[in-house]
Amino acid sequence: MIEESLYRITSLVVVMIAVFLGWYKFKLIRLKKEDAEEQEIKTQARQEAIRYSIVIGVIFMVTVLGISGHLL
Amino acid sequence: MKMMKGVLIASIPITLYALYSYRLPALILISSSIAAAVASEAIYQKIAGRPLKIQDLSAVVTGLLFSFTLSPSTPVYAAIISVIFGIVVGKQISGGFGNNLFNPALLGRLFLIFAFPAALSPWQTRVDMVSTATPLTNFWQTGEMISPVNAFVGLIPGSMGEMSALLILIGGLYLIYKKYARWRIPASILATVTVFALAMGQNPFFHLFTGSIMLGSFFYAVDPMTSPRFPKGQWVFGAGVGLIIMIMRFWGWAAAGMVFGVLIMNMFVPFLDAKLKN
Repeated sequence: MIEESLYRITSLVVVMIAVFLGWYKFKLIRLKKEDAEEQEIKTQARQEAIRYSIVIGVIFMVTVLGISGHLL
Repeated sequence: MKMMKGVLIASIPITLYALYSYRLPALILISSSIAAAVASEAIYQKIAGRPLKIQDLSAVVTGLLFSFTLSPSTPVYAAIISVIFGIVVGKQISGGFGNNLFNPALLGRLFLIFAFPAALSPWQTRVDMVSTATPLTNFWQTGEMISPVNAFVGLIPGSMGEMSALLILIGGLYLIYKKYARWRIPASILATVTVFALAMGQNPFFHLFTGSIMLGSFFYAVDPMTSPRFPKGQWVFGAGVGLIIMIMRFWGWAAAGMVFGVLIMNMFVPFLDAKLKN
């Protein structure tokens, strides 16, 4: 039971961090093409990356619960 | 602050009934959820260098509403970790109160069933604390329905906050009367559930009064930070929540769909606000 919890929590953390880093880099590159201040660009990219990582985290949890619920 | 006080006042009958029904386990879970929510919010704000805002009572409300979703047999450590997840991930890292996309109490609940799948069972009866199935789980597994009157009054086992539809209704009507809750959202959820149940040839009162439909409609879905601002959007939001709940009940992988319904519809709130302005 503890192993299952640890596995699930770790996988969630990995997914959320991967989405955060991926979106942050992607958004940073896109925003740098526009003429804006660097600090402002970073803040905007970070906020968007946080939002998307939480959304994907929720979708991930719902999907895992759905799959495991159907398998049981 | 005023609104949070209002939610706490509206929650008093439900809290007292949970304490009366489940005694010490309820007291421990409610107090530890609130304490963990407030402490995690304060610590995060301190670390992030933000002004301390725990006096706005939003963390207290989140902790209390989170505890309403718990079975009295939920391990305290699981409840504490989950409510911290709800506060930190659901609220604080998004920028704090008012910037969150998801309802933090329900995000904590989703994390609880995701990370601690065995934490919500076994359920216990209200009086003698013997393990049992909730009426909703029973319906989901066997199709049997209990008397809606018992569910309305509160004579059934269930999560700490979902046992008595009557007490939830009293609290919910208080919130609507004080204009702390948007009435269109619960109206839309309850109407959708009723129509769906009738279409399936079943007693709508059973579906309205069991599970967390009443609690979710009046306390979670109406969160002003995570629900649509405009009337049309509120109707669509409520209909979406009701539809997801009923689909989950009839064809889903779990009996209780409120957490999924509200969180999934939370994702569409920016879209609904943008597209369905008056």
